[in-house]
Amino acid sequence: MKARAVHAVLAAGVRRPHLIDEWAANPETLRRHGLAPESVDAEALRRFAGLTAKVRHNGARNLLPLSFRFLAAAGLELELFADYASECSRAGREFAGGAAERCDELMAYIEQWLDVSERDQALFWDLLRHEHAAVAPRRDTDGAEDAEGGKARPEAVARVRGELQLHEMRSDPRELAAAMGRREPRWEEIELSPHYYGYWRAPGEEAASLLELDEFSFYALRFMDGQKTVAELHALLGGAGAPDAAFLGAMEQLAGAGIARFAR
Amino acid sequence: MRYLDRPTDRPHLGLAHGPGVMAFLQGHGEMVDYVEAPFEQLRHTPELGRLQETIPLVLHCASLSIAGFVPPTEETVAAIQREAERTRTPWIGEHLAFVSADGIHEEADRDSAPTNLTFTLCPQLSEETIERVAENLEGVRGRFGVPLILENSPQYYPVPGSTMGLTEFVARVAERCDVDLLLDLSHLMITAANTGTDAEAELERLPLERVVEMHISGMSTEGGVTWDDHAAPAPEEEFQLLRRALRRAKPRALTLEYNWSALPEGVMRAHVLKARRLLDGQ
Repeated sequence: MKARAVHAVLAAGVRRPHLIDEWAANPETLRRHGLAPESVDAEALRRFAGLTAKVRHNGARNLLPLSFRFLAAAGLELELFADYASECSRAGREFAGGAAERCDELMAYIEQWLDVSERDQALFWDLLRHEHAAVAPRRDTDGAEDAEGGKARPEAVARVRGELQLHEMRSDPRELAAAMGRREPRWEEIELSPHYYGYWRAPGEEAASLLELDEFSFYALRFMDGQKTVAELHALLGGAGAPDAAFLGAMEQLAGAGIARFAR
Repeated sequence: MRYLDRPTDRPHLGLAHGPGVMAFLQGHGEMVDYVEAPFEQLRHTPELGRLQETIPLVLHCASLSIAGFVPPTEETVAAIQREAERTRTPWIGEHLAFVSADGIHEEADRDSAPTNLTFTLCPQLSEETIERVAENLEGVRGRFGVPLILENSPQYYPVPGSTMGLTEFVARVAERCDVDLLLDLSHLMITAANTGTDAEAELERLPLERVVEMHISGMSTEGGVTWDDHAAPAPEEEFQLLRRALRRAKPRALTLEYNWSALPEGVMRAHVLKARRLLDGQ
């Protein structure tokens, strides 16, 4: 086999990894390119393409170091990046230019790639969202949601103040984050149970605060879109009739914490 | 500007440029003699060159495709030449690998543009490639005012059509082309692990007297293959291999390549100290 032809095929596989899948499905294609099909270790080449994609995400790694550490420790790193590189190649899509954009695109891919019925992958998804929420840049806003106050009356419109990302998780991601900080990370002991979190940037604040929410507050905040009234929220959350004092009190608590406000 | 242009008896110790290096230099600048800067970063991020106001730079390169069949553009060679002159690097480290190749098309009889990569690939290990390296070197080495030294690749899979192992390939290239080497110990260990050979035995088969610079970095294993990992610290076995290499090799520099992410400051410091002690023969 001529070196020139071999190099051409290997480079093409790394540059456009979906071709490796096609060669595996139809080995005779390789023969047309001058290579004996059995001479190509398609799986290793595929993972190598994944390695090159991983290295091109070093900027994202620096934003999400614990998530990358978990991927490596769980033996998922190259599998993920090989699949991602192949998918991008098949779609003819280049990686985004900046680290934050690359991060966002990778997150979107990971969400549909993961099998969260697998315990490790469920834990990873929690950790990734936890880490990403903390580093996601502030959105530019017109300040309309920054004002305080208002009373939680049934006819008042509820809205979130500042910026809020809500995540329903299967674990407390802080436990996995702590485990990733250890020399020999272990995570078998981490319990799976429903957790509700809000990553909240108060108006004018750069850093996000982690809010541990109960199920009620989580969904109440999720439905607060700046259009629904308190009465509509009450109905959406299963309440019958007019909002009762307990519901209005819970709304007031969110306002008291500075997270929500109510306006006519 | 600071330059690494004076010969010393003591080997220099450097860090590959990456996240965390600036912070480390601010706290422990006296522990490091130089920063190894990739030509590709200097080319696309010229402000990196300002680093030389505080510490000398050594030029590392992954653009010459020295073991490839598609040569770099004249523009690229000229840009490397300019960076070599500007940094006054004592040598240019380049991969004994390829980054460009002929394009292929799903229909083999149609022409395609060359495939250009951002990551170097281990070439076919054959007589044909050795001769190609000789031709490529002949074409470019006179362009630079400093020596070009070649770095051993990591091998992750059998390269089709190869007729020899990587150690023999490197040794044969060094002899045929009379070229000195950049010995990457991590790549050596990775190749040994992936080809079922013994890293110490392979080390002994290399012309260590030709080693001008050495690299140390980490590695990881996934899917039954050992991979290069500059985000992981080098294992103790790699420092043992360094100790063994230094019995014969007299490198002028050793670079810690921890440049994919910022390692904890304590780990960086410990590894710099460990490497320094070994270089000093302790």
